[in-house]
Amino acid sequence: MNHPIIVWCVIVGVLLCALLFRAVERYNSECRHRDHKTRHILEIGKDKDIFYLPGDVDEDDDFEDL
Amino acid sequence: MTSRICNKAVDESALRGTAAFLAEYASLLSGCGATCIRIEKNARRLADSFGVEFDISIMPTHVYVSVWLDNPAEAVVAFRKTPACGISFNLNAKLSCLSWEVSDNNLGLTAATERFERIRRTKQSGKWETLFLTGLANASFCRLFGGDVIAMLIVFISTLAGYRLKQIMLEDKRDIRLTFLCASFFSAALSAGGHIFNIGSTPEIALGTSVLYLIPGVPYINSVSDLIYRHYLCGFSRFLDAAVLTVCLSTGLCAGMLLLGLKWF
Repeated sequence: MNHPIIVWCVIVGVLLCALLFRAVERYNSECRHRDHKTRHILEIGKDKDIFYLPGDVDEDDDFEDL
Repeated sequence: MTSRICNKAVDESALRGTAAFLAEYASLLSGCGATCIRIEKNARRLADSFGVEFDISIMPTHVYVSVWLDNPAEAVVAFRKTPACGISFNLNAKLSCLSWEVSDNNLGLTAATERFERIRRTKQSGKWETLFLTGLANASFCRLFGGDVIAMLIVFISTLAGYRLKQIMLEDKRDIRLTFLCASFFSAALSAGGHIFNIGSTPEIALGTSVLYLIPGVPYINSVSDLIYRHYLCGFSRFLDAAVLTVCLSTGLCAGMLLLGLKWF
């Protein structure tokens, strides 16, 4: 790649980053206003938080008494 | 004797209210981009229908209104800072309508103030619609200057990006000159893509028209109108403001071209 193409790509990258950063910031602030807490785009959680089938055994459940 | 003093106090209080209203009205009209002659005519129309004598002095950042009944020596003066609400033809038209409404229907100060407050709360046109329409308008400019469809598309995209950047920076209360410089730099750099990648047959027209949306046309036209009607201070102030913004956008355009190694002419 020649010099102008590299410079052009850098400029476009910087602009895209700025616009993207702003969009993320705006999304976060909107979520904060709605729920009074920050909502992350990426979060670490257990698969059980998403998939739950009736009958699944949970460590917290006390089945030994049954 | 007591009743005369009471009447005088009531008169003065009413005059103060009228002067304050006229100053608010004139300053908002000035802030939304009206010419001095329009501000003067509209405010005089209101003053006539309120039955008071009136004089106005419009400065670049402030408006002074003086109001009296019979004796100019007993005039009440009100002055207001011009709000930075941005150019709005909608607000401008509504405020002009208000002056005619007050004049035609002989509305009192209370009714006029109520309607004025309603107009002041008018929401600005949606920013996404403005963004999209600005892009379309600038692409049309490109076509007018002889650009092909590819050049129009490049101008549309670079205008969207530059105008969005301008909106973001103005929302963050950044300096308007810096905002114009950055917006023109990024718009010019984006549209230079046509030149760099050899896309389309008229890349130079795309580059030239990509920053046209930043030209401060309304302040230029208003400055000429103000000069014609001998409002020299406002006229020169508006002209200089517009000239500074034009220099900023030219600097951004030149910086973009220089950085990308494009030939000037």
